[in-house]
Amino acid sequence: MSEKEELIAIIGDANVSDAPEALEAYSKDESFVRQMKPQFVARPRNVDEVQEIVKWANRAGMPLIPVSSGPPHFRGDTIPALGGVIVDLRRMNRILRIDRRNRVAMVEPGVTFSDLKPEIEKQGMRLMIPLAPRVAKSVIASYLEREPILVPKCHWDMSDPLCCTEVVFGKGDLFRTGAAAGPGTLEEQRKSGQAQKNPLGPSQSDLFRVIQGAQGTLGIVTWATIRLELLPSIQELFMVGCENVNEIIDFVSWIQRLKLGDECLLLDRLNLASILEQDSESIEKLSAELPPYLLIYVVAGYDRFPEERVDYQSKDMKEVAQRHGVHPVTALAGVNSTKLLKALSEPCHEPYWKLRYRGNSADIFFLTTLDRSPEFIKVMHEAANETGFPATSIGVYIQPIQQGRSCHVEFNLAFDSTSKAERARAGVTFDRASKALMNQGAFFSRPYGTWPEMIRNQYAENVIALRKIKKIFDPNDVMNPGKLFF
Amino acid sequence: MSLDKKVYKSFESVVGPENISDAPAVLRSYMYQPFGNNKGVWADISPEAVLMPASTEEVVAIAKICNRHHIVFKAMSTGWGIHNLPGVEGAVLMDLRRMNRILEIDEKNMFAVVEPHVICMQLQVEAMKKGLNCHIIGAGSNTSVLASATSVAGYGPDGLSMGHSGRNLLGVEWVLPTGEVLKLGSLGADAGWFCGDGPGPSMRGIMRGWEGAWGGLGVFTKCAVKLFHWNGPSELEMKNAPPNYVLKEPLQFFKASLFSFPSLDQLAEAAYKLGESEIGYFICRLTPAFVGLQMTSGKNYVDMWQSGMMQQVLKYGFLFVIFANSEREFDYQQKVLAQILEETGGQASPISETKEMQEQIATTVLKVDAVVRSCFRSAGGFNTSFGAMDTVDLAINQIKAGAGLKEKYIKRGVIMDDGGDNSATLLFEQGHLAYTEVLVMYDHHDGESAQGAFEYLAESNEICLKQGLGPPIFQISQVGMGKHGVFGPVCFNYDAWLREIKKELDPNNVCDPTAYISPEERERE
Amino acid sequence: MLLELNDYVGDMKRCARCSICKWPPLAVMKSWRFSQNCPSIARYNFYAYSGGGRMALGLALAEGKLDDVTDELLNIVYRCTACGACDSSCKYNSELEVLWSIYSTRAHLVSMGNFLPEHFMIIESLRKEDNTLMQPKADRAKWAEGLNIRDLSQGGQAEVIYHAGCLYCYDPDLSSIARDAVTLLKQAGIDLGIMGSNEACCGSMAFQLGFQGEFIKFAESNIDDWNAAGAKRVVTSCACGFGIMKAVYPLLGKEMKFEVLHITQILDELIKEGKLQLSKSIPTRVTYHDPCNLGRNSEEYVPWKGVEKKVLGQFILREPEKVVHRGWEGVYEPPRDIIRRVPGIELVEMERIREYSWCCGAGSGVKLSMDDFALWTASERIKEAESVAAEAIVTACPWCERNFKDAIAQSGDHLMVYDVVELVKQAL
Repeated sequence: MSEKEELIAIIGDANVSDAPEALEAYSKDESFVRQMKPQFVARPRNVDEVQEIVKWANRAGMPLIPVSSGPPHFRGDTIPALGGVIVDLRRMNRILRIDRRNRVAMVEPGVTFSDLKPEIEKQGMRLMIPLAPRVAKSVIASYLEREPILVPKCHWDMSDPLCCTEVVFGKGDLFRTGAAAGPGTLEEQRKSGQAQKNPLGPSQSDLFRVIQGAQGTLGIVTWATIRLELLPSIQELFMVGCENVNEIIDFVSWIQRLKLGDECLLLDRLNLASILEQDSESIEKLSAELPPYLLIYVVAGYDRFPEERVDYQSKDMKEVAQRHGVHPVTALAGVNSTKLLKALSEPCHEPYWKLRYRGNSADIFFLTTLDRSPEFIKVMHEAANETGFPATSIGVYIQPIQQGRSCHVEFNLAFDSTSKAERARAGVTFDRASKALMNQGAFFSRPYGTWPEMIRNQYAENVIALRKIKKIFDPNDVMNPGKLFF
Repeated sequence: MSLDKKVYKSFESVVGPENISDAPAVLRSYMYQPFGNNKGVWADISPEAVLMPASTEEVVAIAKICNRHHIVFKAMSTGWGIHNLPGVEGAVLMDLRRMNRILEIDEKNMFAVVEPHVICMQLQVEAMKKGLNCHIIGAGSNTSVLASATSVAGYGPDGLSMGHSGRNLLGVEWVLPTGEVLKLGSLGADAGWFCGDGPGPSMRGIMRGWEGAWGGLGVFTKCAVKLFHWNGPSELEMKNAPPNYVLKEPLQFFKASLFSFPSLDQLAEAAYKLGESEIGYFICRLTPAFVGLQMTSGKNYVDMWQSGMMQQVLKYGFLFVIFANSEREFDYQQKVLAQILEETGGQASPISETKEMQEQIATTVLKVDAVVRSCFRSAGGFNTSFGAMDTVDLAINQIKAGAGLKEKYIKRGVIMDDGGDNSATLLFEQGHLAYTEVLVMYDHHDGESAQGAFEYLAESNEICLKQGLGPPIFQISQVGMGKHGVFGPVCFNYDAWLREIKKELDPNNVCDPTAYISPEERERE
Repeated sequence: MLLELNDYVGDMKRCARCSICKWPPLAVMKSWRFSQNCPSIARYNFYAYSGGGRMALGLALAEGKLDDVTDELLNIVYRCTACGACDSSCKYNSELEVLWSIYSTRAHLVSMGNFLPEHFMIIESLRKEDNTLMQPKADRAKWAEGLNIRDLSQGGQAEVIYHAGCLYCYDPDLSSIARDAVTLLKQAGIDLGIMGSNEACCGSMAFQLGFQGEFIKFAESNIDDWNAAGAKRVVTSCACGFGIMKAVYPLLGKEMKFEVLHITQILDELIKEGKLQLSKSIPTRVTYHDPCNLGRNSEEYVPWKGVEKKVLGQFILREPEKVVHRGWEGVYEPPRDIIRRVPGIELVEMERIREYSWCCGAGSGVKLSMDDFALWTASERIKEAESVAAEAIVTACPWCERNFKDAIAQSGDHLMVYDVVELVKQAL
């Protein structure tokens, strides 16, 4: 049998494609990562098929690249570095369970934020979402990538809000992480009151943490449970405009320390304008009106005395603000608060906000601590200055995470990818800035594209250790080879 | 079998002659380990020598010597429990007592960096000076911060607001079994301690799981843990008034009470509601025996128990603490609490509302200094069972299963009659997670009692297996003795993966194979 | 005999191994720097050097689990000032007699002929010269020459007998404190006598080192002498003496027709009654060091003899109940009250005080036999005093004073050392 036939035997004719358009679509994305065409696109429907595909890939020596989200992709992690088969998991799109009592849901990888949000809300709960994810973004993919969520107080651990997973490792072994591992079937566990909520284990390893951040190089997740929170019944949005992020960093640290507020993030004028407006002209116009940086935070009430909750938290936050010489407002010229709140609560309508200004965005993101975030903005601007990349095309996003212990810092370099010159400049700026940031101590915890190569020497021991892990979970190197440090 | 003289000399050259001993008296003192011992107090196996390194470099050197000469090593911090000792002959024990510094308290970013022998109380008092507090596990503030976060479990009743040790972990410095040093997360490039995950996959998932490696996968020499806001004074004054050290001044915006419910199910409902309303600093289901033993001992306790008073007022109760950051927050939380109590039939128990009890409870909640009273004081022997973590409903079912089973053994007279339902149920992270440990007290010097207790523990393990109540915490004290053989096959063969990890990270099998996993294939029951 | 190892097997085998014996009671810990309570394990680090570790060794000896009595074992057993901090901390959550397990282990070893040569010299000194310092018995009363204090060695009676203690008698640096003490008592109109050259050691060191036969001899002799002298009160300046007289003398079954007081207790009384008036200002910032034997070790010890019964299944009920002293009732306030009444003085507390005070390092013969350990322990205390910006450390025990002075001389620190008596004398 040919390889295609073998695949068809597993998942059916309709679910295997080597059509040029299909292959072309997966051969590249919006990043600078080198193009490479896959040989097939396979669309399994369930875990059994996934397992069979993986086992087949081991026999055939065929790379597999798992993909859960729809396009556009930005990180280069879904481009097959060495060819192979795209395992497109979007047919696995069932919402398996929503449990209000235990604030948890179980979903397949093809479930997007758009799919899931309304269903969760029907039960009076909400999803923790990253900043305006694109419509086709898979929930599981987002959480596996450790994308930061907007509500720092709900981010207890770097792995949140991911709970348990079902995963197929590199040789086709099925595994479940966390409480889902058992003992007992899922039904038996539920009979004893469990809900596959505890992410830890089984026993002395937390393999879910190992799969997170792995860019599909260790296994394919076929379902996951995710933590949910209550749906607010009231929300009030506050903003603080400032010239310089320095002005508000201490205030942000303090409100995180006191666990006040829900959503809390910093955006520069370009990013905020890009989220609120649809086209380049409107973005520029709004951007010009806005202060250079904006802190946005939301105070919410839930089921119990919601007004009182909003009231006490707002007042407490106001006192903290006063101590830090900061003046939050509920209305700001140019900003429709309702629109902004909406934008923070749901996936982004098309076109995806990062593409609205110039058509594309090269994103540099890393972790640091809140008190250091201002210095990295300086480094970014210096690098852009050197390459002539316009400062007005650099969006900034700072997201406190882990309840304020650290933050995600992101620079979005907007550029027109149809222009060779702009693309080239963006690429050079991306590389130069990344290096400069790394040298300044930025922690590239999610190294995509060229970053693994860039940071490899600094993390030499980690790379050695991770290769050992790779050897264990994917000894034949079929899982997205050529990615990360593998 | 004693250590080869040359090897001893090698170790001595690393730590200095004052910091190594193979003297029988020294070794014998380490062999005293009642907790987790299935008979009496003495471990069967003695380490060959005890070494006391003072730095990561010394730990590395020791590990390398061990690899060269195929000597098993095991590290311990405070050493509470038989699991601290190597489970095989011919091993050396690293007592990390000299690595006891608090290296940093980063106030702005709310974390601390500690060495292995920093105990929770040391960290708390230093953190409080900076307006911060730390999570303390239920076993007490006399335990090691690092051991709990990297190597053991992590449950504590302040978990409602301050999480779980294993999940509070940030950067880690890890001496692998081979002696190589691996720094996790941002620490890998010395970019700081603030994140233990990455780059890429997180090695935190290899170093520990729901439970840690118990010293079986190298040595953790430093780690960073999250700290939390502390709304109290920078130093807590205690009264010098017997019988207890209690707070001189009550804390502002702090209220602790024992709440009693008409049924376990209503208690569970209240727990769910409290969790998701995001109020509270501390919650712990406490039972009549536990609370009684906190309050008194000896004949007083027996009389109290036999009067049935505690059982009546606290049959289904928990200790719940509000500790707010402002008066507004305090008022709000109390209002929410009152509503939830009304909905679930909960009432403040008169026991907790006297001035004396308020003082004692507040101190115990903050200091976690008196757990030994309710565990070891009465019969001498203590152990714990059930203990898997997931939901409140699981925790309730663990109580029911454990209490039911204990009654059988209480009837036999082999374990202490603590009402059967003597358990600690805790919630974590605003109620997202919960679990129950069912406690058992027995006379570890009485063969029949010790035997009975361990039969109970074995049977409770089996119930966990059969009733799908999650893997039992009792495995803690039975590490390596076949537990993987029982649970591995029904939990997706996790033991096979542990074995692979072991082979890769510890190719010379120099870390205690009874602590994590042995490289040999699975033992069959 | 007072110390029988088997009497403590019940306690030694019920240690929970929780390590609380290594720290002050957790709730009173104030800093990382001064967070330890046991000088022995703080210095030597191996688990054997803790209260729990020593209980384990005592148990091992009782159960025959230690084949040989090695030098190492003796070092572990004796590198300990028997300060009782472990005992006091443990008892916050238990009724285990940690300190008496330590004493009994020592007595057990001594009974088998095992002890350190330095200890043998101390005992020989006691036997020959009635003191622990190898000084001539005949010179015992030299410190009191010229003070015109009634010497009861030739007979006679007194309502209050002042017992100076070996160190105050023979240490020329410290004797002035004894002189000050009796001068103050006389000034306050007390009917006072001393035993002169008949004064003998209280026996505390012998007891602590496990030489209980010697101890009993000295203790019984002292009780007889004081009864015969018609004393209603025996006042001592030595905390070690005070501690042993309060805690252990009553166990000998001899009627003690007198009350035992420490000098600070009687001075406190006299000041409060107005018989001594403190009017001169001493503008100094001082801290007070609680001597172990004046504080936590001075409560009357009640050895438990009874039966263990099992009730509620496996609950071990002792009948009768154990009477357990946790160190809470030691002498803490009188010295402080005195200091606070000295005009101009500012009293600041260290972190480890009262029943969780850090030992000075001298006790249980350590000063005489392991001076390096004694000085190390003292230096820790001195650093603690300096951490509260004290200009002087005030205490009420000659051994503490001796050890602090020696440590300061060695380090070149500027901290002054006073006895409470000196402050009273200066403030009169």
